[in-house]
Amino acid sequence: MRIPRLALRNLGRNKRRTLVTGLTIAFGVFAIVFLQSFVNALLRNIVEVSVESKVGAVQVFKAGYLGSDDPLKMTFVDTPELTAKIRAVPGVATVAPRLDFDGMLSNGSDGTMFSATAIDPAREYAVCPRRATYLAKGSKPLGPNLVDAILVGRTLVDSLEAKDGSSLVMQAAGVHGGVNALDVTVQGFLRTTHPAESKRATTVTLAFAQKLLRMPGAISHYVIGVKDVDRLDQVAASLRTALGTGFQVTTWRELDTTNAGRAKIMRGLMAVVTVILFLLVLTGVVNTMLMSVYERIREIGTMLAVGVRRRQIRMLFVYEAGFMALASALAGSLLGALVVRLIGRGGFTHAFGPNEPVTYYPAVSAGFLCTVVLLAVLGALAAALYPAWKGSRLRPAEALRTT
Amino acid sequence: MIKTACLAFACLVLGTGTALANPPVAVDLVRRYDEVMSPKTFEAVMEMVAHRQDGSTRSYKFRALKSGLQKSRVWFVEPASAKGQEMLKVGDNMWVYMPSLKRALRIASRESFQGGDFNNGDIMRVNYVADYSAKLLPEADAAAWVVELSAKTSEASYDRIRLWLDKVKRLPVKAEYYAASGKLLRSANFEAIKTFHGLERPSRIVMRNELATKRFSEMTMVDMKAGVEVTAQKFVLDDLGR
Amino acid sequence: MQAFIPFRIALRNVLRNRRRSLITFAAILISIVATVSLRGLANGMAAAMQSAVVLGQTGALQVHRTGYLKSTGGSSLDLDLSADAAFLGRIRAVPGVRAVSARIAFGGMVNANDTTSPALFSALDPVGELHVCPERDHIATEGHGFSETEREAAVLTPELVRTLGIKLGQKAALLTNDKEGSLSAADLTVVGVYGQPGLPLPEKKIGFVPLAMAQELLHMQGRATEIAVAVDVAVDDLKALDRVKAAIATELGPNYEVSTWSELVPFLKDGVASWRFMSNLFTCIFLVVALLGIVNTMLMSVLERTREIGTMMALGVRRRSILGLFLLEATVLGCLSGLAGASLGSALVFRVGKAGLHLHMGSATLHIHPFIDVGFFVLALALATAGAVLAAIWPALRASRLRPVTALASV
Repeated sequence: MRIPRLALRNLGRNKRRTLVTGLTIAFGVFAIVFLQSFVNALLRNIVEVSVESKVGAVQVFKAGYLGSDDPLKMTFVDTPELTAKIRAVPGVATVAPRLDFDGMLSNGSDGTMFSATAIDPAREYAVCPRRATYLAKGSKPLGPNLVDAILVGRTLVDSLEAKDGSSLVMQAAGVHGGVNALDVTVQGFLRTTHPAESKRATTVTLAFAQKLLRMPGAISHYVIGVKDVDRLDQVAASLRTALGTGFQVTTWRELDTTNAGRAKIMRGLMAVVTVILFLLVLTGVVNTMLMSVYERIREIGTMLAVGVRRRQIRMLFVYEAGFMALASALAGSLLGALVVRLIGRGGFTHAFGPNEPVTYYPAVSAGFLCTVVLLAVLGALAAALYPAWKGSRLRPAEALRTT
Repeated sequence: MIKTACLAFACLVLGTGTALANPPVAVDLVRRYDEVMSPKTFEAVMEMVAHRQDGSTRSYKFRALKSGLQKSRVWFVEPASAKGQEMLKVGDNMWVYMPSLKRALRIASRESFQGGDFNNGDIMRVNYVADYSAKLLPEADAAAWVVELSAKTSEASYDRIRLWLDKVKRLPVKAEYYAASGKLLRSANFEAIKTFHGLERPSRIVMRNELATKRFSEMTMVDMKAGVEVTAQKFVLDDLGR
Repeated sequence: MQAFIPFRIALRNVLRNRRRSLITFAAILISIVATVSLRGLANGMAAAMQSAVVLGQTGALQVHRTGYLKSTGGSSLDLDLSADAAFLGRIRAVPGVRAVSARIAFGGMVNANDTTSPALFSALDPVGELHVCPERDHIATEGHGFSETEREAAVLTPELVRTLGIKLGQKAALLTNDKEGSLSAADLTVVGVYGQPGLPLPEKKIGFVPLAMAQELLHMQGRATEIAVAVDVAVDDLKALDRVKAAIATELGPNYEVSTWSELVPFLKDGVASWRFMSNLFTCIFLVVALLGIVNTMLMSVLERTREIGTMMALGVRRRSILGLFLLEATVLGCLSGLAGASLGSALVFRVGKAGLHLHMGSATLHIHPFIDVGFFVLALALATAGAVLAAIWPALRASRLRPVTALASV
């Protein structure tokens, strides 16, 4: 029909009005994209800190481990068959074994309790890459060659008056028999967020732990990295089906409830902000369209007098709104994507507190951009309905009479 | 007749000579240790002093009753805060009776006994013959027989124990307790030989924590009677607190 | 009176074209209301996050025996301190201190249904604790916290409840070593499941018990391991907090160490700061969108009144006066709508703030009370006014540049 073309011509005719309204929509869209990218950056940081440095996206325990009062009784054996079975589940990217245990660390004359996580350096960093980097300055992550090297919290080491490179004795009891003890070397320090952690936390190699506890092949759980963090619930569900009732599958959200809560709040808030921004922009659109209708009363009157149907008048306004919204939303989102890309490449480094600065990577998905543009256009169309209706309700005679 | 007499006489001399010249069988030494240090059935009053890292001490006095390999029971007498508490071990299970609760709670038997350097297992169950295989090291020490014990059950608290028994009375003098890695976990000295109702044995054991040498504990036998009559009722959970 | 004439004209113009003014007014109003509301929410969130920890867990300051926080070996009860009225009184007498409460932290086991689990225990004084950490009022999501009269009650974390398979109202036995090292036990009734948000500890199995019961259990009558302190100054004001800390340290001497909440939970400041950053970002964006809306409507306004402007110019009104008139109209409109928006927004924030927003995070609930400070109110008003004027500059300039003839001829 000729109406779309007419709509476009009308938009071109009153450049000023089109520009200002278009600019409002464009900026609104740009703002949403920009904000979302920052929220994504903060969310990603939360996930990184939790998932990639400690907990892993998904974990597999033997059923009953988490509630057990003697966790070492609920260990199972790490076998290639089991690993393969897990890796075969769609969405699973990497698998690494872990063994958690407690014991005493002593320097010969004094001893203190510790809580250790044993990792397999060959497989761990694929699942939790930040374990390799989230350490105190100057400390190196555990590698496969030095089996008896350990990483400790600073307060723990200080209390034993030990240093980097010191030799200590680690004692622990496995499931059978009494306590065993082995020499360990302090290779470096863990970066702990909490003073209580600094007093107890230790990381050792899996081979060493299994030797110390005399539990060959035993692990307390697998940590699993997924291909797409947003789909990890589906992966967890698939794992549950694949492994059966003998195993318990949990996600990082269950193990790190604090961060999970933070993420939830941020998402919720972003949603609220987006809605409000949308409404603000759309109010502007309604406003403009109403103005436009009043401005063009004569024009509308003329059209009605000439025989243009009311419906077509309405369609005209709606098309105008739609085209304008499409163009400006596209412009806004593309500009937003560009800016985000530029910032996101290098990252945005900021120290929020006295702690070390963290680098955030703002990013938005293509899907999100499309959604925003679509919603902007739909919103503008909806916003144009009332003014368009009003415009079509004019009486030609009166309309022609006004100036 | 003379031939028989000579043969008998020869045997006697030879026999005695053998007894003096040949080293004992390792298992016998271990059995002697068990008999002396932890008779099959006994009742005793004991005192334990735990010396902690910071130099402070904790002392406990308690009465112990043991019957066979599986059952043992302890009544705490001192300090006043511990009076009335009891511990019961039957097989793998261990309970502590708290007078304030008027009931018993199950606890893990691997814990250290009242925070000292003895394991709960050390106190409540000493049965080296059942848990360890023994080997004699004949030339290891001039004044003592040295026996090397290796764990043969999962009940064993240590992987290896080296035990010194003096050659004259065959009473324990010293012991070293090793982990599976070969590390020395504890060392003990057996002192102050006394006679308790006809049973002669060291009355005090000083146990050192070789990995945290600032810690050590002493266990002193105040009184002991072996071979007492013990009713099975004493080792029933319900009996705790009576 | 002369000076007010342009103002009165501006006002009359604004009132004359109701529809147009109303639309502009509405646009600014909505933007400002949204900005103020969002700001209030963000303020509330930041405050809630902080107070959840500072007024719910740690207290503004804590007093310990020197070496307590760093000690790793032995029993935590070795480095205890006095909790008698005299000692507490000394701390309370320090200027800046509002309230004190004693606590004991100790480790032990919980036994129920023939299962035993190791756990960390925190013994609190039901009366004193609420003066220092008022958020402890919400200590339990299921059941309730313990009062002065309930001496043998316990509130357990959900992880502990799950491990023991225990239900509310059931009894559990607490087993621990007392100060002398002897075993000590007590029977407690589980009265609540812990539901405060943001545990600052990595440990998940925790039991909260009454202080008096713990002191008896541990044979530590009149003693504690920690004294939590509430202050008169704002907990955000770290400088003032440090001053109170120093004052307490001077009063108590070298045997005791005083720590501020930011030293005890250093990661909290990060969380709050990142939140504030986000909120500032949101506020800026909102205001810009609002301003653009104003430009929009101002332009419309000028366009609509082309003939009017033409008439004025034909009658001899100077261009400068036209410019001034439009700008003044914008000021009036901006100021009025800004005032209305800020007031409405503040009222909204106030209402919601009073009732409180309850956000559910897992098993815990965060109670948010949005609030606005006067400073932001003024800022919003100023920005609305300034924004309206700024937005009106270009349209006003255009208006003043019109050629009377063309203007008069147009529709």
